Amino acid sequence: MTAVPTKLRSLVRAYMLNKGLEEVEVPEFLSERERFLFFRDANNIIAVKILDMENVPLTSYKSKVEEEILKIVKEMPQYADKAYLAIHPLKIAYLPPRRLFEASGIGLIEISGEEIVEKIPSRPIRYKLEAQTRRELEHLDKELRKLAEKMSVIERRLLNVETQLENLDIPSAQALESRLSMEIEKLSKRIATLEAQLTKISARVEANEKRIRELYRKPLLPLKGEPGIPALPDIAERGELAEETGLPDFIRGNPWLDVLKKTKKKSEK
Amino acid sequence: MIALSIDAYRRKYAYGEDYGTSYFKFGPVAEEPYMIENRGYFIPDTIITRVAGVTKTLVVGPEVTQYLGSKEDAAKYLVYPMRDGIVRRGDTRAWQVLKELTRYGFEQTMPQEAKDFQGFYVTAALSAIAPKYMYEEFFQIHADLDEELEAVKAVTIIPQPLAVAIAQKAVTCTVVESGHGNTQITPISQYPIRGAIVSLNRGGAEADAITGEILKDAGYGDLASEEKLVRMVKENIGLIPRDLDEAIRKAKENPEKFKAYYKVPGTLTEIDLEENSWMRFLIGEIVFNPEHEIFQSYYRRGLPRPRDTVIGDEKIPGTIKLGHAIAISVGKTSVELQPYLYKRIILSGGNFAWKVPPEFEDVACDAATKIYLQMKELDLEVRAELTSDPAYSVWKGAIVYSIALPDDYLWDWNRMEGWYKRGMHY
Repeated sequence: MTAVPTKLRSLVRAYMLNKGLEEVEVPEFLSERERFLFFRDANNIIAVKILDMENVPLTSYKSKVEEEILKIVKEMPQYADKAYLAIHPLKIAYLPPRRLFEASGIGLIEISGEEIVEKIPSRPIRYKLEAQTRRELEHLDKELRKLAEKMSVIERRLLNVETQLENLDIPSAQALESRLSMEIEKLSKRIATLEAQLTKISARVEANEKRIRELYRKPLLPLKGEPGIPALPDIAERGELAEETGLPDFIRGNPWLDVLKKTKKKSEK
Repeated sequence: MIALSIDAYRRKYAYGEDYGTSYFKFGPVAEEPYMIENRGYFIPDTIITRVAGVTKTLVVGPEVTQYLGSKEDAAKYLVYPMRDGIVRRGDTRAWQVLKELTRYGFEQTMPQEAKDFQGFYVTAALSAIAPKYMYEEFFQIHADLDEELEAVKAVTIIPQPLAVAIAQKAVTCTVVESGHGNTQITPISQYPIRGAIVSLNRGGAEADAITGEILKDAGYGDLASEEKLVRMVKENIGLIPRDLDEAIRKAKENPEKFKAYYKVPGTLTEIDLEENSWMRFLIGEIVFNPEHEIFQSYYRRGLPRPRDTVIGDEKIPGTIKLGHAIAISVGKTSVELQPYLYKRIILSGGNFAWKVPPEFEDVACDAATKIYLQMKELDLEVRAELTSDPAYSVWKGAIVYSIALPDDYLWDWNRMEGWYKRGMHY
């Protein structure tokens, strides 16, 4: 089975929106989320899984649909109140028995060309959560008990520390404090040195970035005759003017240079 | 050979500004300009911004992205100052953004240590249909910034089509500039012939709209409201037909060859027009000939019909063939000049950038060929070409203008030419 074609998604989306449903985001952690569309109808969240069965052989058609029903039953109660399978193309003869859909509560939508038909309505599937929720509550209760035990151990240890502090040897504590102060001072100096180095590095990076920007913009060569620029004796032979050397192509040989230069003379006439 | 001397100062300090609807391109003489989006973000005065030590009220350039939050905030605080190249007169926030963009340009490019720098010679390029108050506002912005930064020794403003002609080194030509919302046809002979400018109320937006309709017809109605996706589909499957009827016939005969399929990169979204693949030719045709009868049913279903243009007593239909509109524009110039204007038609702007896959060359063509074919219908032999560098050509033309316009040629409101200079005008 390949990825769901955009057109199938568009058709299903249009069908559900036409029914007055509002589209909502597909939950982030849902597996195969690209095959799903999610909608809201009053308080219900409705999930539609689109199956493109175009290339699924008939021999495995039924088992594929059964597998999808099981997947939805297992995962979907966490995310939706109702669920549909939208299948293209729908081969009724190769479907699992209708009672399997009804028992699981999963609805069935047929996509045929441009037409969409709801073959089996869906039923709420959230109630299946109740047993699961009870199990989870029991589990949480156990965890809470464990935490309470840990808390009482911590409380006892805290009391112990407080007693030790009350009986603490003051001179040795002062010696410890002064040693710590010295360590802090040393670290402060090292940080200051590092900060100074960082400022220098930032300045150098900035200067280099500026140079790169300038290089990228391909700055012009200085005028002929300026220091460091060799004379180009062949320019005259090529029909270019010395003043145009080093200028970008769009300026060199541009007839507008001459037209604009004559602008004033023309207006004075 | 061209006999001239280039002023050494202006060779260094000529400066170009292209105020496009989407991008502001700026910078002194170089191969390419700097480019930032033509927009600004007004920072709301909140406790958070105060605590964060933000003192600015408006940011432009790359910094804007740091402030973009929710869609609602963007709609409230993000300002795109131009619409089809025009800024409304009393739109204070738009003018504030334009001033900040201009300041940003100078601050990025002003030489820090050059002792000879006395300010740039700035040429700003505006839409050909920019009204006089826009010229006044832009002069004022540059005068104000010169007072603050000493950045502007002189400033002038030229129409963008003139800048395109200059960049293309064409002294006599017709420039057709087509953007998102409108298309301007400007005959030029040393200067734009203002009385002959024709502006059509259509552009890339029409091609976007028909692409949306085609998507709806093909069963992708939910995708038709996503503007960016519609534009991507247009650019990737749209084709300009040499002859629409012939192209449709061939595409219907051989749907596999003309199959219009597009997968949006990085997503699972794929569009396949299947038996409607022939419709890809409508996307290109509507730019050049929205009058074709095939579009009438779309207009009846709600596709916006381009508005007519009124010039004096004359009404030019909004759906006129583009080639025929060029003929109307050129027809308003002197008869002697017309052959020269037809000899070089320059097509500029994103709306003319259409690809022709080699396998479709018998039925599809590029924008220049389409114009040639439309004008051939009128027995006119023309030469049309696409600008060699559509993104930067206006800025390049502005640079050449800054270099070459004589220093003592001062601004005149009748001619709408010349330098607006420090010490003279501000």
